[in-house]
Order: sequence, then C-alpha cells, then structure tokens
Amino acid sequence: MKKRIVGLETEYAIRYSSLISEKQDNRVLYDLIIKIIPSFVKIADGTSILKWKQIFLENGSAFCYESLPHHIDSGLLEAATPECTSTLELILYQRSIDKLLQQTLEKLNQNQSRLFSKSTISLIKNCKDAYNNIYGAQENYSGVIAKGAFLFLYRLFLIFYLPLLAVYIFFVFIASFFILFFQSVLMIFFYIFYLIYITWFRERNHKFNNYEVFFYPNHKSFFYQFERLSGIVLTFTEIILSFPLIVPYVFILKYFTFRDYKKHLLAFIVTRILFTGSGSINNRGEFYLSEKAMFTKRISRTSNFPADRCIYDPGNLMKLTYLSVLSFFRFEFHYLKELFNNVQRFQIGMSDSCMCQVSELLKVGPLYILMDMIDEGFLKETPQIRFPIKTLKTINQYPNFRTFKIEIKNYKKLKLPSSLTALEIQFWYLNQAKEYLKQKTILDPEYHLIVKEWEQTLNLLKEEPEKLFGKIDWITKRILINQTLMKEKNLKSNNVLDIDGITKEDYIKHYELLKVIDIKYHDLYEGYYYELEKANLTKRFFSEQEIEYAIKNPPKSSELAKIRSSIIKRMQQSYENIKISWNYVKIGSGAISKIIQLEDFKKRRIDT
Amino acid sequence: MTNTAKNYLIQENKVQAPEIQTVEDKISNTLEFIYYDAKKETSRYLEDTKVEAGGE
Repeated sequence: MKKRIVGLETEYAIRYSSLISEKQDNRVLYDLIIKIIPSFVKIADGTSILKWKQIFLENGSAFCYESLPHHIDSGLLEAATPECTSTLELILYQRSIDKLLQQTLEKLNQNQSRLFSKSTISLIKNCKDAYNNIYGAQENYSGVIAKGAFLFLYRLFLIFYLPLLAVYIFFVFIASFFILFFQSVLMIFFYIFYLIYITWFRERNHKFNNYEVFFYPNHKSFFYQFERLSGIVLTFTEIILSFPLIVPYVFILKYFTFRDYKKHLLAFIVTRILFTGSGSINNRGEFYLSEKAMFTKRISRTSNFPADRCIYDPGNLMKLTYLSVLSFFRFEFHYLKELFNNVQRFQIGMSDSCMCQVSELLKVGPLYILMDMIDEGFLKETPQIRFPIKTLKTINQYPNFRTFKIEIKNYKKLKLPSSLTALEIQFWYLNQAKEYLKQKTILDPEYHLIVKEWEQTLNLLKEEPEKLFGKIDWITKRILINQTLMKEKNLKSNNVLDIDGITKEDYIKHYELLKVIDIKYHDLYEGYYYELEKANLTKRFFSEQEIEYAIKNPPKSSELAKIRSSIIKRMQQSYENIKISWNYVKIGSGAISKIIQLEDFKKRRIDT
Repeated sequence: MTNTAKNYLIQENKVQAPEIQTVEDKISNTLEFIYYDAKKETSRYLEDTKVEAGGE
C-alpha cells in the first residue's frame, strides 16, 4: 500500500456580537468571511453537489458552508486540510487554516460595512456550544476497506444496492418538486394576502406597520419561519422515506468495512481522550475531558439521523454512494469508479477540535502508526473493552480516568489483569508502538517524535498532569477555570497550576463566567488559547514563517494537493470556467463540460 | 483581550509588563488578563456563539 493519506475536517461556529443589531444570518456572515480570503490567497470555486458554497485555496485546502436544512441560517464554516502523508505536516496545515482565518477576521473586523458597524464577527474552533449543540472535527485516514470474502460481499451488495438507490433518488426528486411547488404556491398566496392586508388595514393596526418584519431576513420574519418550517418538512420526509434503504446499508458498512481497524483501535480511541479532549463544563458542575465523547452514543452509525453521534462514522462512504448515483444521472462516472476502490477514507467522528498542538499531534500521530501496525499484521491481538460506550462516558468525567478500572474481555490471551485503567491501556499501546519501531528498525524521525511525545504525555498524566498546561487542552482549560474561580472567591493560590481543589458547588454558582472561559478559549479572534500562545505558554512545533508558507503553498507530501494548487495558481490568467474538486477539475459547464482527473494531470505532465 | 485592557491592568499595577516577567509571572499575569476579560463578557457571549444545530 502507498503511504497513508490523512486529513482533518473542522467545523467552526460563527459568532456575531453586536450592541446595536440582532443575530445575523450565518450565510451572510460566511460570505463576508469568504470575500476577504482572496486578499490573502488565491481561491477557486468547488464542484461538489453536496457541499454548499465550497471554495478551494491555493494550498490545496477547502472551505464550505455546512448546515442542516431546517437551520440553514445558523450553519458553520467547515474547513478541510489538504491531504497529507505526514502527520506533522497535517498539523502544520491545520494551523495554517486557523492562521488564515484569524488574519481574515482581523481584517473583517477592522473594515466593517455600515450594516455591521459596532459588531464583531468571529469563529469558534470547538465542538459544543453552551446549549449542547454538537458539531466539530472529523479525522480521515486512507485504509483498506475490506479483504477477501468481506470485500467481495461488500461490492456485491453495492451492485444490487445502487440501482435501488437510483430509483429512490428519482422518486425523491419528483416528491421534492411537488413539495417545492406547493411551498411556492403557499408563499405567493401569503405574499398577496399580506400586501392586501398592509394596504387596507395598515393604519388600523400599528403592530404591523414595518415591512421589515415581513421581508428582512431576521428571526422574526415570516420568510425565515417559513424557510425553517419547509426545511423541517423536507428533512423529516427524506429521513423517513430513506430509512428502509439506509438501514441495510449502515448494517453492511458496520460489519463488512474496516473491520480490523475498528476492532484493534477501539480501546485506543476510547482512552485517547486523556490527551485529545478539549475539556468542557456543564451546568451541573461536572467537568468532562472531551466535548464529543459527552454526546457519543454508539460505536458505528446506525442511521442517517444527524444526532446519531458515533466513534466510527461511515457518513463519507454514504455520501460517496449517493454522489455516485447522482453523477450517474449526469453521465459522470468518476464517483462510481471511486466507490469501488479498495482503499477508502476511514473516518473517525469522535474527534475534538484541538487548540494545543501537542493534543492535535497526539490525536492523529499515534493512530497513524497503529494503522500501519495493523496493516502489517503487527497488532493481531489488542485489548477488547467489555462496554466501550459506558466506559467512554465514565472515564470522560473528571477525575474518573485515574482510578476507573476498564474490563478487558480477552485479558487472558494478552496476559493482562482482567481490568485496566485508561492510562494503563494507553501504556499498552505505547509499548507495542515502541516495539514496532524497534523490530522494524523504522528510522523516520517523525514516528520517533510522535512516540516520544506520547510517552512524555502519558508519564506526566500519571505523575504531574498540571505540567501539561499549554500542551493538552482539557488540562489547560481546567487550570484556567480553576484559577478564575480562585480569583472570583478572593482566594490566594500557592500553586498557579492547581488542577484540583474546586468543588461542584463552586462550578454551579459561577457557571456563566466559567462557561465563557470554556467557549472563549476556542475563539479565533481574541480567544484565550491565543493569549497563552502570545505569552509563549504553549508548546509549538512550527514557527510563524512555516505557517505563513503553508498558507500559500501545498504540502510537500501530497502530489494531488500540489497539482490542485498549481491549477488554482494558474487559473487567475485563464478565462475558462474551471471548477475544482478533491480528485478532479471540471472545465466548462453543462453538456460541453469536461472532467479531468488530477491523477491524469500528473501522468500527462501538464503540471509544471 | 484588547491592548487597552492590558495597558489598564499594567497601569493599575495589577500585573507586570511582559518584558520584565518570569515564567511564573507570565502564567499568573495571563490568567489575570483572562479573568478580567471573562468578567466583562456576559451571557450574551454564550448566546452569540449558539449554533442551534450542528452540521457534521
């Protein structure tokens, strides 16, 4: 197998704070942000049907607007790093995206139009708001989807499933047409009714003397409420209609794909929240290590409900299948070809958005090494947790990870005690990785750096967790919260990095203040993590110059990103209608459009 | 934290200027800045960062 490709997707919540105006439509705010980006880097429009308002940047990364149909105005900015084959490089590109967005926000907030004067627009890189809405990050690793009989059965299932999906999509289009037609008729009816109403009765009723209540896109407007209601109807119609079709597919995806990774990585992923969690408090005075783990319900997705939060999310494969059929209707077959590839994206849904670079490196680095070990047959037997989700929930609540014993099903085979703490499981994986590097005489310095950081972090978590301030997000956040409480209560602290000593009652009493710290820690504009960074209190792997370089240039380890970047850079002189995607470019539109795979560009040596 | 807020804290002798800080001072002073800034924010900040429905 070629070197593994890895990528991160991060959803940023959009913040709009104003003293004079109400909450704005996030689509408008997203557009304002995107309009500023070409003043820093070159961009090109994306082709994707499922990603709304997608753009690609000259370093190979992409931005889009992500929302649900019934909350279309309160969506998020989603950023995807270019594909990398080095985890250190991946962290650099994630940092470059954060940096570019920071620069964009600074410029945007300095030069605001009259409409948004006395207001601040920002982005929050976290996974949960103060009202328990979940979004955030996802990790993608290329891996072998299945082998032998499982691969054969998976492909056989697809052959029978795709025609059924095509029929379903055809009927959904017809149903959607009638729903939209019905909506349009209703809109016209209400519009005429309202015009008559305001013309004849306006003087009698001063409550409705303002046209803006009806037309202006705010939360009180009729159009806004109508759009939301239509979204709810469409979403639930789609979910109910597709349910019989989705259930067998998620079953196949769950039991036939990425079986080895899912089995051998589960104990690692459940316990890695010890260093990847970004920390969160709730109004019951409880502190959690990971935001995503709080709402994770199962190991694998079992439906297409947005709230079906899981550790392994095959949503990308579901989207690819859907796209294959949609493109088939347009006589485009590249997605169909991609669907039958042996190597696919293995997607981890339970992934916190990290601010600390050490947390982020340990989120992807050890997993990358462990996947190599699985592919090479080095990890044949790993600890199997008896109740994974229950265990995840328990160790996620501070300070259970220190003492909670996790039951291991196959402890006899592994010659281990029948139960281990989360830290002991991590040490088990670490020792296996060290043995792997030794036996295979792997000299790649990146692998050694990852293992060294992993070992240092585990040792500190065991002995002196407070020394991970500025390196691990949940520890950094917990110390900020505790110190704030000490100041609030006018208590003198002997140890500025005290991680304990605060009661639940204190948390509850000062919840609002502490929650501000919890959220503002992740703010890209004047956020608290960046205060720590400015004061040199965080560990960094990259200089500012390296990050600035990565904003404008593709990763050295990715051929596809290099080709994509080269096309975007040259597009500025071209008059052709060109749209970009992760794997191909589309030249022209409609019947005369032409699709060229990025791989083909490489073969034809078009790239300079 | 804005520069105005930082300068205010330095002028009021609540924290030391960055160039004369030790590591412990730096941590302590940054925590002081953060505390001061968080106190200024209200529940409005939490409302402003509300997402309503996550994508993913």
